[in-house]
Amino acid sequence: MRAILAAAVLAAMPFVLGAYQLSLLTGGLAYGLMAASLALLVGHAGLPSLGHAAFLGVGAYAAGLTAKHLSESAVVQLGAAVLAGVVFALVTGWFAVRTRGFFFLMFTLAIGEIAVQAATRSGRVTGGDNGLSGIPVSTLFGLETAMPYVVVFYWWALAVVAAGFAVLAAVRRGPLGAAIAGTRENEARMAAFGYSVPGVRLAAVTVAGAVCAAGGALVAQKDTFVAPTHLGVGVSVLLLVMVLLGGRDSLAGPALAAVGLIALRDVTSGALGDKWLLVEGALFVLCVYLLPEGLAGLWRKRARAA
Amino acid sequence: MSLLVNAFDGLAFGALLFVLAVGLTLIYGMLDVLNLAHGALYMAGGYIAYLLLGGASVSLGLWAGAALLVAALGVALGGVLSAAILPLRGRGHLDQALLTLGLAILLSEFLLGVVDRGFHTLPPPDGLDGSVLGSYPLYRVAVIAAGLVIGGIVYWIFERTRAGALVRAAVDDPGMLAAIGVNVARVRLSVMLAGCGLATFAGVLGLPLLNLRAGLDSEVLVLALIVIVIGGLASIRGAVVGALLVGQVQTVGVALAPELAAYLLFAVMAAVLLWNPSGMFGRAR
Amino acid sequence: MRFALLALAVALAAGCGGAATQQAADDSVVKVGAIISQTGVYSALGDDMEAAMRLYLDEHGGKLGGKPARLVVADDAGTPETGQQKARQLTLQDQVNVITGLIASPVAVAVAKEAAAQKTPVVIANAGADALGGPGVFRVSYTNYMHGYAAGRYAAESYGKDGAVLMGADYSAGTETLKGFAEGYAKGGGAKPLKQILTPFGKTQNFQPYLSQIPAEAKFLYVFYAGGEAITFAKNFKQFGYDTKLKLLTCQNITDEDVLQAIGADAEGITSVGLYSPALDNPENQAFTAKWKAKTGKNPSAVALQSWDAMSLIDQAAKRGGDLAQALGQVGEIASPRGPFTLDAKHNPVQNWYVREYSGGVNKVIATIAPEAS
Repeated sequence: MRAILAAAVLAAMPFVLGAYQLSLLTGGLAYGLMAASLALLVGHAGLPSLGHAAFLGVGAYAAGLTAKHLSESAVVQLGAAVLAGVVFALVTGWFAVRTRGFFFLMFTLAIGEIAVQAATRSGRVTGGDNGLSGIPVSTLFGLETAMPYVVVFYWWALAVVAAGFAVLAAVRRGPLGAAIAGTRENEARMAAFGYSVPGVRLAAVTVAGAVCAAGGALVAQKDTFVAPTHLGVGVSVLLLVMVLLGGRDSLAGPALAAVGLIALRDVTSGALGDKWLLVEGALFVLCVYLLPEGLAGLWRKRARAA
Repeated sequence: MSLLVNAFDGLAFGALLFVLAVGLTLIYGMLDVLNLAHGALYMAGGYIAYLLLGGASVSLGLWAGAALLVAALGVALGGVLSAAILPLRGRGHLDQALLTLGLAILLSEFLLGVVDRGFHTLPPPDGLDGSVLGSYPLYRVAVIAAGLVIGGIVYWIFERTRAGALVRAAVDDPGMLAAIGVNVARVRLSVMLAGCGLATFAGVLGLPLLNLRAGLDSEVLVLALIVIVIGGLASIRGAVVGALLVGQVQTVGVALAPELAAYLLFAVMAAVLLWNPSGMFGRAR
Repeated sequence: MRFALLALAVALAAGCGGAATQQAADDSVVKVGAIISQTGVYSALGDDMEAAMRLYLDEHGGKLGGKPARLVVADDAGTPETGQQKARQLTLQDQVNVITGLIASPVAVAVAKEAAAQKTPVVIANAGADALGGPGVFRVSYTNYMHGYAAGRYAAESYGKDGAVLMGADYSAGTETLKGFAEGYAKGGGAKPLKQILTPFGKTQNFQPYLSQIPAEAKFLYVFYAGGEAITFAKNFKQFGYDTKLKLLTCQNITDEDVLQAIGADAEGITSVGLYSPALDNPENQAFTAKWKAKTGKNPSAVALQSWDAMSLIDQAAKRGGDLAQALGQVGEIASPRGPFTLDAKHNPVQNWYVREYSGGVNKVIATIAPEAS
């Protein structure tokens, strides 16, 4: 019910916001979805990843290359991105799920950095470090001819983000989600029940990777540009921070943190010049002390009190 | 011949990485704290030494005095860090990671604000700025020597003294240690202080090799994390082997396979983790 | 509750600048949007860039083309995604007349694309990517290719026709500069370089393993490094005694003012090819270096000069009046501290290059490479 209400309010935003704010919010929603997908790994599966941006980048490059060479349809590009995300998740996750905790963190960091190098050094395909340019603007069911593109694209992004959230929520609630949580809590018992622990973990990585790649497609379509920095540790850290600020056991929390952090950066970097990073550093410190469960803790506390 | 020089040079970088990473691995092993401010501490060591010595070449005595002073400041910063982490007991590594990341940003941006965002460095102290055997920089030999001395001291404390035995015991079984009346909190604090002091000291030691700049903190943090992951956590031997391996990968490795240089370090780390998911000398945790 | 927080976040996002959106374009003011790395790995250059732009405005009564000017600085944090977002903000919200700044090439590519979509002209003050361009894109710095090409021509003339080895950072600025060098060298009659050594960009803390790959028969080395890597390279080259084994020719960045202090004595004697030297003997340069020194106490860097010239180009174009994008292409010769230069059909500078030898604290000009007659 709340989700529907939130979607309705968000859908009305084009009537409230200007073009720039709308594009900022579009980016915020895409990052929100990607942060929520990472929360599935970090919170639900107990797999802290420092290479999640690789999925963003794989999805973005897949969508951008599809747009450039195959189809200008946003839906086709999205499909290509999700497919690429699944393949990338299966190939890298197969190895990654053998490690745990801090070692998983570092293994995924290695995957991300190797992906950055691969994108940088495949200049013929990816445009190298100067990025993939010449991506055409996506078509959106012909609606873009009737209305301003930023508005149509915002609704498209909102629809994709809503669908992605629905997938994440369904997985969390369903039998796979229970199995994933089980491997986090007690590997030995899950194995005794006949589950393949690496298999369950790989499924978690694949779902999170596919959803994140969908977010990556939105980034590529919004900016009609992708660069190797999209895959790098800087973005991975940002996504992880969004999860921790929002609350790792939640989907809405990280999404909210993503929108909030992007808005905060926008305001502070404009107003403070090179001092905006100090505000961000202080925010991280304060949040650790004041919001131990992240933003999600705020409404949980409320619910408990009621 | 040139590969021998590469290998020797790898020792110099390995020695520096060891001094940097040994504190990180002990802090992780002992306090169960993932200290993402370790790179910022290294950077702070470099910037404070630069502020003290003004970028000019100075005598070895003055240099060493500054390095010790910086290490002492590092110990003080370690105290601050311990206090900051204290309220987070029992909350897991990721909360510590976010806290120390925030503190690292505050520290490094503060330093860049105090000095500036430009590039800075410090020449080696007088007497160590020459070269040996025709054309090998003497300072790098000195870094190897410093690494050996510090490694020896750490090893001696760890393996041969009562304090070291307590530290080892605290890694293995803190409950038992507390039960026999040892103040485990104090053991932990001393490891934290020593680790942070070593990190800032490494910042001075590395100053003539890695220039000061924005982003230096995360660059060295990633290197240190790779070292401790390869070696395995909470293991001095692991830190030695990890640091030496990373040093060789970055010198002999890239000389042998220059076209793979950009991938090599991360590929080696990934390969070590596939072979043993807890690092070379690590225990599963 | 969750909904309320969500709404709050949206309101927060909406709050940034808010009312500015509907602001009408104001013709009485020239608004310049400068996308500069204020944070991140390129921020050392960013400080010089901003200082030079502000200095230009201060020296010209805060006016461009006779109208009061406003400089809006935005931080790209070194990434194209942020840069593009800032370009969107500057065009849609701040309604700037022109975008300038732009240190890193990937950022410039993304920004130029966004600005073209919003029909706002761009004056690039640093980024060198060869592919950058377009009807509304003007560049007062250089292309990487031309930077290397000029050095290649000079090397063929003065360093011998064979025995060249090239070395540089493995990213587009490095490979494009080295490609330009190889072609300029071939144009001057030089043989194919013996070897090209590429080092991982931004990840190389030690050049010894790469220097050791220089073949024994090498006669000279041409290198491209910038920023922190330039410092490490220059020191390693000297400390490992390579300066006694072979001659060195470098890009301008290795002995640029932003790195010289850190390189220290090891910079002595390095010969480089660049578009500027603080020692150039012309009235524009004397005035510029004096002002810059008074403000910062240092010699101006190449980025400072380029940023000054970016403002100068905007100033002259604004003076011409009419559509700024068109006027930027019609300015003709620009009197710059580097010497006069013009923009070619692709809006890239046609300019002298200078062979500079660093000695006694300054890059002394020892030869001038005039533009090739086309």
